[in-house]
Amino acid sequence: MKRLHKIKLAWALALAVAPGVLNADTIKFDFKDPKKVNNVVFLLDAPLESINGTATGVSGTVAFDPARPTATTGKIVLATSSLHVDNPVMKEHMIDEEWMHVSKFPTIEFVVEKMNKVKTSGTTTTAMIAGKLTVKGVTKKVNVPVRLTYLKGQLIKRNRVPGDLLVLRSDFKIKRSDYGINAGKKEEKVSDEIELKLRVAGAAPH
Amino acid sequence: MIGCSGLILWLVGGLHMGWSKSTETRTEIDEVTGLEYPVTENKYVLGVELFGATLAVSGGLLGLSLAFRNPARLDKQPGAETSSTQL
Repeated sequence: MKRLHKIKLAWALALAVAPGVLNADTIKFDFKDPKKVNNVVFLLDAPLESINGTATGVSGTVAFDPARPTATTGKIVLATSSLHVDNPVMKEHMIDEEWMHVSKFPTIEFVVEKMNKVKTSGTTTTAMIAGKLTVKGVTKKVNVPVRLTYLKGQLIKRNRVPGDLLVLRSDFKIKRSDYGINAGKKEEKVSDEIELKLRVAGAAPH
Repeated sequence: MIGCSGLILWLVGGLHMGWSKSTETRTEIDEVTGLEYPVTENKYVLGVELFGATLAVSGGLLGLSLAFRNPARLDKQPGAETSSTQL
């Protein structure tokens, strides 16, 4: 009877400790960046007009294990209030109800669910991310290419605290009609296709 | 005058071919991560639409001035006095 108790206790301990052991090398990177280096560039090339803008209100976290990049998960959030174009009238139109409706939809979210076609060379990993992109309240499954660069111990050069950096670059295209952004309207001036360039770095202090 | 002012402002703004801008965004590179990031500063740059508007206004005013200019008076034309005395 005592032996049975010992076995049960051993299993209970093993189950309790297992997740910690499995995730022992997973590093959680925080993408909040007060310096506003993290950014998303958006480009629209319509027959009558080209629009390019930026957004720097990036936050979110990514769990990354340098030894097992396939297990990468996380979420990158972009504050829509940070969307910017240099023309003030265009910016006013962009944030209003007809287009991005910033007051109702304050964030754009990209959830990393799975990494496929992972190739690692030195500190750089390329892969296809299978995830979910939510824009203007509409969530769609997406597969986007990504390049991750793991900079071990480099955080001290940037933030003066010891730690690691994870740089994430991704270029992909979406269609505004898929996300209900004034779908099918004014396509001669505002193209349906939006090219996105994600350039972000996350910090993991030790 | 209006057209020349528009032309000068457009030239000073660097012959910007797009719409007018109230900010200007340039790209810099973060030394540690190598990431390109935008830096936005407040700067007014005249666009082609306002440059075109200044040219249109100046052209319109020139047209109006030509259309409604005072007709030249006969008594101020050379030889007008002589011809009247002859009659």
